[in-house]
Parts: sequence; C-alpha cells; structure tokens
Amino acid sequence: MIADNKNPEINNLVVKLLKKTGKKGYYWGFFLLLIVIAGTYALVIQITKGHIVTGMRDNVAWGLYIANFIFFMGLSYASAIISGLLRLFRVSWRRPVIRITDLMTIISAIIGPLYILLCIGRIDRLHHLIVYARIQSPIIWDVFAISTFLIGGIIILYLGLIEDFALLRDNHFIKAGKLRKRLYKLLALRYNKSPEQTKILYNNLDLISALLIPVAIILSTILSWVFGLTLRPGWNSTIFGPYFVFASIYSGIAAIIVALWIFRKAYHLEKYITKVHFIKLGILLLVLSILYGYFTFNEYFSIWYSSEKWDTKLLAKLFDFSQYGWLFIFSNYVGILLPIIVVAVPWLRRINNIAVVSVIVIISLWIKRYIIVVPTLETTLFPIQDTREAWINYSPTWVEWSITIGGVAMICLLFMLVSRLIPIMPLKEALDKEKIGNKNIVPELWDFNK
Amino acid sequence: MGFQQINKTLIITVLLLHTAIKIISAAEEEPTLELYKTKLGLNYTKKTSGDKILMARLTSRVERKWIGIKNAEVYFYAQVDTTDTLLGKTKTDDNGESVLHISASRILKNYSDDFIFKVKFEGNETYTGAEKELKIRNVEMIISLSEVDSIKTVNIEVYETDSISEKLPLEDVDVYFYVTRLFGLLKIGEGWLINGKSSIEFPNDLPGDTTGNLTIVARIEDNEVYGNVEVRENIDWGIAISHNPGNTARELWTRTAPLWMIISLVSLLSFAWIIYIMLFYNMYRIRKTGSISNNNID
Repeated sequence: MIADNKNPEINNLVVKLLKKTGKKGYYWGFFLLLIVIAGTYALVIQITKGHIVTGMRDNVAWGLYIANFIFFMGLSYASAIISGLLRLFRVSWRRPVIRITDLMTIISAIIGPLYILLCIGRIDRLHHLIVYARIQSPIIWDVFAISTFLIGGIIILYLGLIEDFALLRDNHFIKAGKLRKRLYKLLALRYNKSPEQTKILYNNLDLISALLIPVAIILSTILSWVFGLTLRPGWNSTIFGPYFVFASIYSGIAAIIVALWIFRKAYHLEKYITKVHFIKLGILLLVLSILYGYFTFNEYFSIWYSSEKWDTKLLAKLFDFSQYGWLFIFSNYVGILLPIIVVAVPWLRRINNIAVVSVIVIISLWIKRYIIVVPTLETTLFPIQDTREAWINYSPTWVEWSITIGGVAMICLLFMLVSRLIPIMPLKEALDKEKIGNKNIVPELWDFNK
Repeated sequence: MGFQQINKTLIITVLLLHTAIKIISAAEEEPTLELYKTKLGLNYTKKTSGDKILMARLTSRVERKWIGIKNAEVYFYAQVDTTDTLLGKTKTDDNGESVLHISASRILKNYSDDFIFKVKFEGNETYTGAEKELKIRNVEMIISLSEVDSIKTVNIEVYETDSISEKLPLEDVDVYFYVTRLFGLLKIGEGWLINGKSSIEFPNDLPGDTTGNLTIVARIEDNEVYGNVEVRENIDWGIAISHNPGNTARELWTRTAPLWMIISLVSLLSFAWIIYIMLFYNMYRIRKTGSISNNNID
C-alpha cells in the first residue's frame, strides 16, 4: 500500500480532483457536446457532398484544416518536449504542469491528424496511404512518425500515472464505483513503491522522456518540410524546420498556461498551482517569444530584401491591409511583443494577465499558420485570368469553421472527461511535496512576490 | 470732361475686372480633365488552315512608360468593297492585348485584292480614342517534306494569286523554319524565297514524341507587305523518346525511394519501437515484482 490515508492534505486533493461533476460541469460539458455535434454534422455534410462545401479549390487546395493540423500537432510536439525537459532536468515546479502537458501531447495528437484527413478528397481511399505509400514523401514520414509519437505519448502519460493509480487503488476516501476501482487496480500494475519498482518506473520515465524530445523535434521539422521542401514563395526556406519547432514550443507553453489557469479555477487548486508556476511558464513564454520573433524577422527580412518577383507578390499580399495586413500585424507583432511586455514589466506580471496574453499568443500562432498556408497558395506562379474569384482566392465556409470549432470543443471535452477519470495533477508528487515542504520552489533570479 | 473721362475709365476697368473674374471663376468651376493619349498596334497572322488572327495592343503613355490598357473594348473592321465591315469586338486583357480569330471562309478582300484591316478604340473618360489600319497582301504558303537518301528536306512554296487566279511567286522574302517544343518554337534554319521557293535540310538529331512525331513550322515573320504567315506539318522525323521508366508500381518498398532514405526512416522508427518494446517489458517487470512483494507482505 502506498496511500497515506491519514494525510488529510492528500485526501483533500484526491477529493478535489476526482469529485463528482457539479451542475456547472454538466452545463459546460453539454455546451461543448453541442459544439462537437454541430462540427460532426458539418463533417457528415463534407463527407457526403465532397469538398465542394469547403472553400478549397484546385488552386488553394489547403485552408483552415491544414492550419489546424499544424497548430494542434505543434501543441502536441511542444507538450512532449516541455514535459520531457521538465522531467529530465527534475525541475522542481513541474508537478502541477506535467500531467496537463502529457494529456495535451495525446489529445492534440489525436485531434490534429483528423484535420489532415479532411483535406483528402477521397477519404474512402485512405488506406491507399499505406498500400501505395511513397516513401519519398514527407507526408508518409508524417503518417508513420505521428503514429509512433502518439504511442510514445500514451506510454509517458501512463507511466506517469502508475503511482497515482496505486494511490487511488489504496485510498479509501475516493467514492469510486467498483468498476473504477478495478480499473485503477489493473492499471496500477501491482505497484507498491518497492525500491525495485520505483527504480524501473523512473528509469522508464527518463527513457521515454529522452526519446520523445528528439522525436518531437524531428516530427515538427518533418511537418515544416511538408512546406519547406516545396518551391513556393514563403515556404521554401532553410530555417523553416527550427522555425516550426520554436513556434510549436511557443504555442505549447501558451496552451499549457491557459489549461493550468482553467484547471486552477475549476478545481480550486490555488494552493498547488501558484503564481510561481505562471511566472516560470511566463518567463519561458518570454524567451520563446524573443526566439520566435528573431526567426520571424529573419524569415521575412530575407524574402523582402532579396526581392524575388514571386516572393514580392506574396509579401505585397501580406502587407496589404485589405488582404492579410491586419492578420500579419496581429500574428507577427502583437503575438510576439505582448508577452514580452506583460512578463518583463513587474507590475503587469500577474496570473490573469499572463493567462490572457497566452490566449492571444495561441490565437496569433493559429493565424500565423493560416497566413503561412493560404496566401502562398493564392500566389500563383502562372497568372490566372478570366476565372472565378473563388478559384483563385480562398475563403473558408461555415462547414470548415464548424469542424474547426468542433475540434477545439472536442479537445476541451476530452480534457474534461479524462480529468474525471484520472487526477489532473500528479497526486503522488503532490504528496511528496507536502512531505518535503516548499523550500526550493522560489529561485533567486526572479522576485515572484512582486 | 475730366469727370466723364474718369467715369469711362472706371466703367472700362470695372468691366475688365468683371470679365477677368468671370474667366478665372469659370476656369475654377470647370477644370479641364486631360485624357491620356492612347496608341494602337495591329498584328496579322495567317495560319495553316487559312484562318487569320488579328492581335491589337492598346497602350498609353503613363509616367513615361507605355503600358497596356486592360478591359478596353476594341472594334475590328475589314474593308470589303470600299466599306468598313465590323468583324467583331473584344476586350483587352491585362497587357492591353486583344485577339480576334477570323475564319478562313470569311470574305475579306476588297477591290484591290488586299486585306485592309482596321482596329478602333473609341476612348473613355480616362483615355483618348485611337485607331490603326493595316494593309496585308494575301499569300498562300505550301509546305512539302521529302526524304531522299536519308536526307530530309523541308520545302516551302509561297505565292500570291492575282485577279485571274494566276500564281505570282514571291521573291527575296525571309522564311524561318522551326519545330515545336513544350514551351515554344525551336529554330532549325532560315532561308529566303527565290522564285517563290525555299528549302532547308532537316537535322537528324531532334527528339520527337514516343513515336518520333514532331511538328515543323515555316513562317514569314513581321513582313511589311504580308504580315505573319505560317504553315505547320507533322511528321515522324524525330528521334522516338520513351519515357517509360520501367516498373514503377507505387508500393512501400519501391526502388524509386533512395536507399539512404529507406535506411534512415526504418532505423529511426525501429529505434523508437525497440525502446517501446523495452518499456512494455519493464512495465511487465513492475507488475511481476509487485506481485512478489505483495506475496512477501502476506
């Protein structure tokens, strides 16, 4: 038995995390479910009527879906990298962050690829991807690699949960049904905190963490190659690999901050998820925003300075306020400068401010993906004349928007459902923290009490 | 007198001032809008089928550059029996160009047996109108291909036809020979007409399609009297090119992927999966040791 049934703190936390869903929870769940149903309805329309119900045409064959795919996969890769680094470097403040990070790795990696499937005109020929696979294509590398990565993500989440399953198995304060108890027992793998078991478990966690970091970096780079290896303006760039990696981590940190903020409010975890966590993650956000900004500047400056005809046409679209100008400003200025200001200025460095800025970063990075994909496809090498406007320029339809919003709702719903079954914060590590105390939490470099 | 003189001077001054003010205010009220001047160019091409193509280009000088005017309506006429007959109207494209196809069967000749074409732009609120006339003498061009002792020759015969259907061969006109390629024409030779005839030897090393077919083109180009005249002929004088790369079945282990790529991908994936198998084995070990420990406690 590893549970400390006499420890009121841990019992309190267990009860808090796995309490029955309240009225508010049901309302939220129902609301999210409605959005998911609306998205599913749109999906059925797309499958039955074909791509004609989307804004995608011969010329601009990618739109919202591919932007969603890159965005969600980016979140997933970033979460794996962040989770791996936090574990490997034994970062003291990792505890409340790590489970959310692991969950985000899996949930985003499940939802993200669904969007790329929606770009396929003949979904009934999906199996051709494997049967007639072309190993030269980065898209095939993605198919194999994402599946491998997803399994790695599930393994890391499960390994991190084993101690908690054991604790839940042994804790008598949880009002759980027989089935759930049985499930906890099964998943706990007879873990009883023996030195041998603990050693194996932590070695496993280190190993998978160390594996997933390079895998996520490679995958993020492969994702960038889907564009970077193509001779199109704004895509054919040598820095696209690292640019995608940093953009992913940047959006990943922002998403983790937002998720932390939501769970902190929803489960009243103010004692466990403190200002320290937000500021630490905020600092990471600041560093990443600088790095990301540096890459962004490099990318556009080299395109602009070289003045290649085709690239110049693309830039003209991006700088034109009647086309993509505002989106460009929002994603490349607001989304980069705002986190720097909010985290760097002490009196602005507040939990809510950091959370709001993170939401802005998430939106700006989604828009960034959109303006990477669509304006380039609209900038054709050969002039297109005497044809319909909709065939040259892309504008998403309600079907695409519904499926997009449905996907976001699905992610929230999955988070909600999973958090009903497993603790959203590692119980075992929280228990340890109670025993060890809070001594090493505040480092000297930053004054977190300001 | 003095007073009257002053009065006259005053009245004239007032009248003059009034007139001046009127002129100035009228000028202010109705500013004259200067229109951009335009220029029309006209080009004639006769095709193998006898169809004719008229291409007009409408340009305007803006900021010291001649730029094409787009979306302008251009009217094409032919002078038939001393009257201008409308052939058609088209709109100019982004480059200010407008093209009209005239079927071979359409009668265009006037009393002098020449074609007289006219293109007209009537102008609008921004541009002035413009027109251009082009006089073209109709000629017939015949291409014939011969092969003697594996020497391939392209022969051209060009003549005018007079009012009594007598053939009048052309003299001292340049003729150019080409073959068609994917993105344009490849020049294979040039000559000039002597007694209406010209010929060149066809090169033996030109690639054709899968059966060696290619298209030979002979042209008179930008001639002041005859315009552009061209004839085309297909023949299998090219080298047959086979694009069949052999067995290209689309499958996972196809040889079309470079070996290094297959090795890299397989090694990376194998590495990850070997670690996964290790992890699964370790999970089994956790479970196994757990049961032993429990037994020990019991």
